[in-house]
Amino acid sequence: MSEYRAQSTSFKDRECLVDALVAAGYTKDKIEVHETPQQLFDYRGNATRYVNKSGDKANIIIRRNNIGYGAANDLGFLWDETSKTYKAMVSAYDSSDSHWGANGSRMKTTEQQYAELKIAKTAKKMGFKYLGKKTVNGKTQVQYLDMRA
Amino acid sequence: MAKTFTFTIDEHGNVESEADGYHGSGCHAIQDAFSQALGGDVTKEVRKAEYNKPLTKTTCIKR
Repeated sequence: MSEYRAQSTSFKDRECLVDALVAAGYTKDKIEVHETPQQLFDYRGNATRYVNKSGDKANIIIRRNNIGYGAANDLGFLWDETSKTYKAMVSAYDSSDSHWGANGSRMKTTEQQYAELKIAKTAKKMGFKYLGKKTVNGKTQVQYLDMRA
Repeated sequence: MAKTFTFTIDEHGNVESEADGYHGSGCHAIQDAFSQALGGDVTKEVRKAEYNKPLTKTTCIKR
């Protein structure tokens, strides 16, 4: 081993984020992708204003009826130009551990899948060859061969 | 020796990457490229013994 590195992951790549949401169980036709952020709504059809007084908006949206467990509000990911990342827009009601909270199963699946997809995309771009994937102690382990030498 | 990268991804998308088969700083730029792509913060970095090990010298003989 030459070098070891540990790091966190941020949602920066729209394509990988959408694909991660698909891997988390949502079909592409239920995932809205907008260049301009669009309004999120609650279960009564009212615009939500939890984060932004003028209305909560997001670029990537799964509408409440398509979330799949009787969600109270739309779910979104808003592009933050300052950090160049997508921030999850999840209402308090939908932030339980069984759904979209920081430790929620759906959020964790999306985070893990996003990292795997982003690594695959980067490795392909760099000319690496995919060698395989396995699960070790609940973690996903993927290996690539550097073909460039 | 084959040069490989192994990525271990936890349930929150945190990534541990291990480079094998590299000598010198060859793998550092690649690690940086993956780190930049993943976009988060690097929390730990360890350079192993091979990092400073010189390449094996070989001689080519033309016949």
